[in-house]
Amino acid sequence: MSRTARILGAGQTSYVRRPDETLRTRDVLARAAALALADAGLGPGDVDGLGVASFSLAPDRAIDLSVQLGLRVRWLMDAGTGGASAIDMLQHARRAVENGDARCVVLVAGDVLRPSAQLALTNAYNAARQAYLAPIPHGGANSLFALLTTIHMERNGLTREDYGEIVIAQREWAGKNPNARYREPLAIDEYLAGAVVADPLVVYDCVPVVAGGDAIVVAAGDSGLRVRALAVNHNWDSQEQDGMETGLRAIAEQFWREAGVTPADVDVVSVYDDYPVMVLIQLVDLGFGAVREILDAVRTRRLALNTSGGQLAAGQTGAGGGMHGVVEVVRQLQGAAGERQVAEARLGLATGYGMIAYRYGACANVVLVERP
Amino acid sequence: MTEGIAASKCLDCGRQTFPPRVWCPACGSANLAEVVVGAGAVTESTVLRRVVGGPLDEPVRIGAVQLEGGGIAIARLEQGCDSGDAVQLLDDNGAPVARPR
Repeated sequence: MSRTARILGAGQTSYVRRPDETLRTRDVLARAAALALADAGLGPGDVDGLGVASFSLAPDRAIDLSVQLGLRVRWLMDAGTGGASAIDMLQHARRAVENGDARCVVLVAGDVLRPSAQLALTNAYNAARQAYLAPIPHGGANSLFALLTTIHMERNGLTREDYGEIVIAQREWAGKNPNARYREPLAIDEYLAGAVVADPLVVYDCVPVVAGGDAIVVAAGDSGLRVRALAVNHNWDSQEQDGMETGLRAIAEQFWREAGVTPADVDVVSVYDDYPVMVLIQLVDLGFGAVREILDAVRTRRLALNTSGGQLAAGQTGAGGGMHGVVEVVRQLQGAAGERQVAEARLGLATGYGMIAYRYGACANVVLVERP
Repeated sequence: MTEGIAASKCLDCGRQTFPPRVWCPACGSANLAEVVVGAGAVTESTVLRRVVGGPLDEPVRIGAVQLEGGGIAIARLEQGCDSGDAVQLLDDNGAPVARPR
């Protein structure tokens, strides 16, 4: 049997904007894992590897989830890189199954973060933010990305309408995704009149936090989706630049060489979209074109971008935000994306970004998945 | 509030970093000293109006400040500080605060 890592299935729970008191993080993670296993035609007894990314599972860790689920594991991973954790876990799981450390790995990510937990998380995200940002008070990442968007707007000569195009396009995709939280079409006037969070950002520019989880199943074999290329570049600049590039910029050339294709060959793209500005920055870093060209491809819908609606419309499941994009790419390549199916999707790309170490994200990664 | 904010400065290559680091991001040296930075210039600013749970009663003005000697801090901006302005820096229980200079 081939030792190539394959993605055999994907699962996503329903996303809930206001979870009731009884919903626990381990329940949504378990649900996502069960759905992914069912999608792969497997059961808990087939699993011998588990990777988990979650902020709100604490004080439990991956080992505690394995106990809760009765999983006997020879490979175990706690991922602590937020929006980049899905592709980080896949980087490790891919090698684990190819080298025989595990046969069948479930990678699961998600959270149940109620407003008080969200505030606590953002203020104690790491030691630097706890010491220097929480006492400002900075109110979370929104104010930081307002500053980044300001730089990006000025440098590229963009207007708020330009960022709005991304939000509007993703809303349109969300209308075709029964699991997206915000499915109603958004008009540009409505976007521009949105309540200001931190200027120039309005509510529509900031991801709505939801409770939920996403999972994939990875195993070695010759069926399922193939990981064609994967690259990670964290802390590429030690937070010494202005945030207008991610780690993807430095690794893009080698990534596409490993993939043996170009951005133009990709059928469906999930870019980590905590804010519209990051969609543009990552696509430029990866060589999808100049800012104006990308905006044009979004406006004309030539680029199948964040076809689930992305986090901006579907919702951000805390640390599950990165897995959300991976699951959407898997769904599209499986031909299982329903009304939003991209015709004959064969190559899908997903990115991860995040862990706002101080002023911007310290983590960046990318994966290209192929339906052989 | 105390005057200046604490950054780190590499005693080998001179790189100044905020927040302070353990090793120098430029040359890798562990030979870092604490320095107090009292001046900078606002490069971008925003007004935080809403947080988790709804609108703030009192919006907070926040800006990026290019520090004299190197590094960028996120600071609370006092009245009268705008983008491009030279500012003095203060420390309010860890929060960098920018005041017109």
